[in-house]
Amino acid sequence: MHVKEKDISLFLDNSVSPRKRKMIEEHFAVCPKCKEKLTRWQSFYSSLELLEYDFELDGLEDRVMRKIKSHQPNQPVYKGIYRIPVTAVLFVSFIVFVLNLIFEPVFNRLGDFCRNTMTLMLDEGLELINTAKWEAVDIIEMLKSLEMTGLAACIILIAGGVYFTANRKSVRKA
Amino acid sequence: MEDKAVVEMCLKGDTDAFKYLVAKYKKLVYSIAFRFLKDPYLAEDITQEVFFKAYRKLDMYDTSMKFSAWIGRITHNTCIDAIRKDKNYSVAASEDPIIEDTGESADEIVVKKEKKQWLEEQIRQLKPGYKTPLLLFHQAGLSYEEIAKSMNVPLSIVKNRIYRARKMLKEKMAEYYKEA
Repeated sequence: MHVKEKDISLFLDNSVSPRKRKMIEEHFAVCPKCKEKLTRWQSFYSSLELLEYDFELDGLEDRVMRKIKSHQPNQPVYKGIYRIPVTAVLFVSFIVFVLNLIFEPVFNRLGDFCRNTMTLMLDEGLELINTAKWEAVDIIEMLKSLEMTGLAACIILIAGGVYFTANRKSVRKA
Repeated sequence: MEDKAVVEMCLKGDTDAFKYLVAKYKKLVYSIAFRFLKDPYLAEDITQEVFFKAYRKLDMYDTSMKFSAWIGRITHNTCIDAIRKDKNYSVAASEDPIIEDTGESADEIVVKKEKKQWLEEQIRQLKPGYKTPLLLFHQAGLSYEEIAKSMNVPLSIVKNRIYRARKMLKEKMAEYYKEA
């Protein structure tokens, strides 16, 4: 059986197993037809060596390095990140400044009004609390006096009751 | 210096270390680009573009793979993108390669030059899926396994594609010699 063309190609590439290689070599030794095929393949391989490879590419390294250095990936990214916030901050600051100039008197009036209202409310509130407090004190005092009066009244009543009870018994005996 | 060490230096911020890789692989990248685009100037532009892309994607480089395999894959993809964008790229006129004086006779030089041009033309006509593995094997010296890994295809497909590419070229070459 003759050696397949693909096996000859792999044989020349040293890509066959040692066992298969030995078999192919033994076959080439006895088969002129396959040996001729091998010669044709060897001739073709030597033609492939003719392919141009040693090109003149002077200065290519420098051109590539210049291109790489001019396109450093980090620089544009950072520029992009900081450019937008700085512009936005400046714009917002300007708007705030203009609005402040226009609305400053209004803001001042509003501030005064708020402060006065707060003071007034605070004073009124304190006065109300004070009044309520003294009213409460009076009520407590009154309740305390009522308590004493009640106690005295109780004692008098009890004493009166005892007196009249004793007198009624003496009247009956009489 | 090992390629992996150079890549690590680049990733640590030493941009100039990348120049070493450009110098080492520029011929490989250019040889693939030239066989896709025909035009030497466009091939040079693509070569620059490939290294620029490689530098920007260096953090994605799998160090278990050879750098030549990785850059070969980027070149293949960049060339296909370029051809898709502008189909004229693949039919642009080519310049005659300069043949150095090697002491051969004028007839020998002419025959060799014609043979080389003819072979270059046949390689250009191969499909990208056949052309790149063939060039990576014969010009970058990569193994079938390394090509399979870099192109993200099974090993059997790489073996088949390289074999078919060779067979097509071999058959055309036989016809060419027959006619000659």
